[in-house]
Amino acid sequence: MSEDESINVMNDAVLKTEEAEYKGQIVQYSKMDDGSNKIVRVISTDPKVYLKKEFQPGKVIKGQIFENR
Amino acid sequence: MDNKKEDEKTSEIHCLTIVGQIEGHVMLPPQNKTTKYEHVIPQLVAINQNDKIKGLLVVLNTVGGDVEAGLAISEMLCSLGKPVVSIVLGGGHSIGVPLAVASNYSFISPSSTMTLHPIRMNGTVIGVQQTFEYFDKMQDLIIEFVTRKSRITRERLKELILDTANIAKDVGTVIIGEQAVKEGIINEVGGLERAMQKLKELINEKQNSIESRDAT
Repeated sequence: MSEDESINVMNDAVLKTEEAEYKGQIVQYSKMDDGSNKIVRVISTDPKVYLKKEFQPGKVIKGQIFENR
Repeated sequence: MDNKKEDEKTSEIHCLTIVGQIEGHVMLPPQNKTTKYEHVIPQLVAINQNDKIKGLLVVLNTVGGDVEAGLAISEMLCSLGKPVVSIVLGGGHSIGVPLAVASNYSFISPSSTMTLHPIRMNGTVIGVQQTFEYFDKMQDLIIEFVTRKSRITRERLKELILDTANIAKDVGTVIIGEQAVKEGIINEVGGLERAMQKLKELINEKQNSIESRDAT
């Protein structure tokens, strides 16, 4: 009997994103398979924020994205 | 240390980008780029409340979307209490028109387009006279808003919205760049630098009028 392998279904190439606060800004991020989070975009009206390295799209955040207060 | 403090200070001019589709009461599928009005409204309130922020640049590249959410954002923009300059880059379609004219001064880049067309509805439509009357009222709301906030006349706007010879498979008109200025919808053709110049001009004007009022 052939083993029933779990099929990794790629429904479409679309990322499911979530939002959270990260370093004082709202970011949209997607969860990676290894548990880390990848920033999709930052949501802010302050143009300075978009120049900051920590909020660039594609940046991977290991561990918790929520700030501990 | 000083750099960190400089970084933490908010910019004097903030920028609101309205992209993709305006999402209203119903969430759109994830492959759509959306502007969520529940984000935008608190951001606008924060901008109104923060004395350090002197003005707002609104960048528009939208296909349209939810009418009520779009009008909500438009009304907030024109009652912000600080100078707002809008610039249409790419597209300012459907509900993008009220959004563009809601500012104190609007720009359009030469290659941008705006579509003026009647509102449309998805979902279950009940075939009664009241449905048409509702449509008419909503349409009138938008026409009234756009004519109030720009130089186009009601008659001309209705003409453009109801034109059947312009767009294939749809009713309405596509206007490009300079046409929007000629029709009186947008104030000026221009790009980022010009829009920022105008915004700074409006900020200074406001500052001067506050100072002269305080001096008397």
